[in-house]
Amino acid sequence: MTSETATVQQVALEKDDIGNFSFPEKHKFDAGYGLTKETVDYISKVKSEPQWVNDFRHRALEIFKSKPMPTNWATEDLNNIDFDGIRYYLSDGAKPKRSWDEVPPEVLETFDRLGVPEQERAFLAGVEAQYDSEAAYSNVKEALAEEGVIFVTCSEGLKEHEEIFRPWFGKVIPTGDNKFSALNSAVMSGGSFIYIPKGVKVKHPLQAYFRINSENFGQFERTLIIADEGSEVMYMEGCTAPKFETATLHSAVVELVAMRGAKIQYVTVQNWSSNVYNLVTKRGLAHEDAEIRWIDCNIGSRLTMKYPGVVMRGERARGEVISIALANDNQHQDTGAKMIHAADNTTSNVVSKSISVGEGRSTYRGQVHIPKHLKGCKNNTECDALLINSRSRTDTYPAITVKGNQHVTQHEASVSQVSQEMLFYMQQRGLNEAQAMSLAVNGFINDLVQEFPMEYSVELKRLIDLEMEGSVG
Amino acid sequence: MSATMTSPSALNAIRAEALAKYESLDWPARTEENWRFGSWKEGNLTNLEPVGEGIGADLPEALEGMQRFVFHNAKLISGSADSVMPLADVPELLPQTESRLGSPKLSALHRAQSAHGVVIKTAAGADIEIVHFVSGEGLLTPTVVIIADDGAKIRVVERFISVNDSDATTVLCGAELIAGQGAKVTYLVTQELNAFSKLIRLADSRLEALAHAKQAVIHTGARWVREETYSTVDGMEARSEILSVAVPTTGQEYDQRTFQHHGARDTYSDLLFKNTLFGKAKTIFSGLIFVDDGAHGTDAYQTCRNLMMTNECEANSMPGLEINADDVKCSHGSTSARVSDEEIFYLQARGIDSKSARNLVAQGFSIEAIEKLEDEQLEKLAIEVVARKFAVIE
Repeated sequence: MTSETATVQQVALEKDDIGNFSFPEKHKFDAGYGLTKETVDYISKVKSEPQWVNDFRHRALEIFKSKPMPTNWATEDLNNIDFDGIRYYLSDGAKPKRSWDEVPPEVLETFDRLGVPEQERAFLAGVEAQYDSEAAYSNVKEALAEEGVIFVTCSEGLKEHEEIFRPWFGKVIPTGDNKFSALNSAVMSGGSFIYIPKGVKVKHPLQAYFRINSENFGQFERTLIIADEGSEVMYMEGCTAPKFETATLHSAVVELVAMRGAKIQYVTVQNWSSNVYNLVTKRGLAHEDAEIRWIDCNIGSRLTMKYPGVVMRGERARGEVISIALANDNQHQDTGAKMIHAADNTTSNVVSKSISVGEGRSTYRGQVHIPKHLKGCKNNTECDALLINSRSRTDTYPAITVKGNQHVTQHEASVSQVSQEMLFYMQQRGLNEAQAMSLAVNGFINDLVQEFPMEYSVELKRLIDLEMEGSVG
Repeated sequence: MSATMTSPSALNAIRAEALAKYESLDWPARTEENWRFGSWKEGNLTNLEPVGEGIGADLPEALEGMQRFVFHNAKLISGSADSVMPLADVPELLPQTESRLGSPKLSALHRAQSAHGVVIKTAAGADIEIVHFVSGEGLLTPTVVIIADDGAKIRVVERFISVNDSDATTVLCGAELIAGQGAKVTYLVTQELNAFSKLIRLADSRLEALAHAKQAVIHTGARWVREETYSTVDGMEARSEILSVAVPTTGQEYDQRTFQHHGARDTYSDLLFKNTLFGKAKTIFSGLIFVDDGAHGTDAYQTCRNLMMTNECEANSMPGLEINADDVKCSHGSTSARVSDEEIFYLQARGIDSKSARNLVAQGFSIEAIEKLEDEQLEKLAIEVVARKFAVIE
């Protein structure tokens, strides 16, 4: 296998574990299809992990096998996942190589339309293994290192920084939280570990791009971010361009820990191709006066199930979820938020907007929990859904538990269409129907799009235009 | 009473079939989404024997112009009207409730055991009051079926009253309301059981074109209530209004599940639930607005408001939407809050002590839902029932 034909995972893996192993034999081995104890041992061995990680994986595997599919509340589509037909760790040339000729023309066109840089295109399409951002970001990296920020892969984190990593790893989201967090814990690879020292306010958003020589996206990525007292950080994952992908199951776990007075913002833009099951568990733990914000945008995938949560453990902690979902034909965006109030005077805010186009289905699922003997907790939840076509579908399933009379919660949801009057007004002013619809949809989510970093929000708008094309008329 | 007698074997066949279904189904389980937050164990009625003969108590003041039917447990003591048939005479009308809200086994049990109840069926008008005097330990399975033929106007009041303060009776009642074209039905249920009783109420309604139904329930009694209200609006421009006022306190848990099913174009439904929670009360509200594919032009609203009177009460709300059509206007809202300090201060400044002020505001909160009945006589009764509860709450 020559380097020109190497696939994303291969090269990324080789570079990911640079310095830790040199494992030419791995090309001869194949973790194979299906998930067994041997698969777990194989991953551990390849990553030369300490024993405690291997034990952790084995425990997780047992939990994964013992837990039923959550189809008592979730979509039956989950039953279509063939766990035995999945490769949990691609480590040899079994994955088909890809050339530009094999990338679907739609994807290429989208790159053009979105204005994705050339180098990124190759990476996103899977033609090139790594988007090399070393030159562009080396200054940023240097500045970060000077301030003591740790920004490495998860596997590096658990080996090189065990004393910081281990006390919080798996604490915000225990392995047994759900079937897919257990799956992730058993076969995790990729993802980031970030530690921000006390009082450090990171000026630039951190992106996986900064982390050189590692995979940006993993099938089972695991991310842990710890913001120490008074620090601030914004982390961004994903990108607006469609990620051309042949693997069909992605199950990530992301844990955030905000110590006293810290602030973490986590921005996700998800645009997996529409054959992907994206089943993600994301949760943050906010201590006294800390703030955690999840800013989440889901556009791609076949089925996304993702309910970012914040556990407000310290007084005056604050949690926020801002979410945009767009479901097109054959897509189900099942997203939401979990707000667990566990201290006095904690506040949380959820704003979710979804758009269903064609036969797309979007779902909001939320949980707000305010237990006994707390006071002064506040929650505000708003979910708005926009239906574009007559076959579009939207659901809302919030659950709110309030104990005691010292709190205020409110939940509002609405479902609407773009009104004929609005479209007519815009058409009179020279827009065609599709343009008018696109403008109306962009208007619907405009206040949320502004929460995204500027370059993302520009791309998001273009992406919405693209998705709306051909949806009317 | 006017009805052709059906042979007892017809009823027996229905019961046998229901019994077989009952035996094939499982009791509610913790993992069922329809029992989330709920006391699923309470829904298990294994080995519960039917109650014996009942006794009566002082009748509440009669409602003017309404024909009254009085039951002592399963036995009809008094009452007759042209529009009313005993259920035993028309077993084929025994409701087969949707039971999509979590209690198919309880629904089958009701059908298998149901022996008494009334069927109100008319094409003209009817004003009927049904009083269930409930006593004894065991299971009671009453039924009310309301069939409003095209253009009929029916008003029904149904009251559940415990004869004493000690018997732990489990009332498993079924109700079915069918409103034909342009019919208008107002149906008020008051539940005033004692603090040891349980009520499971499975209530279905189906509205045809241009029909208009208002259903209201007032819950003040019982230890545990499970209510599943399934409302279908099947005909164009049908309107369904569902109201509930509940005032639970320590030792009471009210678990209400609703389903607003829109199956035709240009239909309307509005749901308003108001809970005032005292002591260690617990409420669960789970509502779903379901709009069928093709039911365009639907207007559907759903609101659950919880007024938290103490620091130990618990309110769970699950307002849901499933929309499969477009050109719909749907919204739901759920709030939990306490009486604002400003309101209390305002009333105190006018010489009302803080406790009375709080209760005054809370009663006003309940009345807001009752007023939507737009029927003076029924509103008066509902307010009386609520006021009685407020009077005994410390």
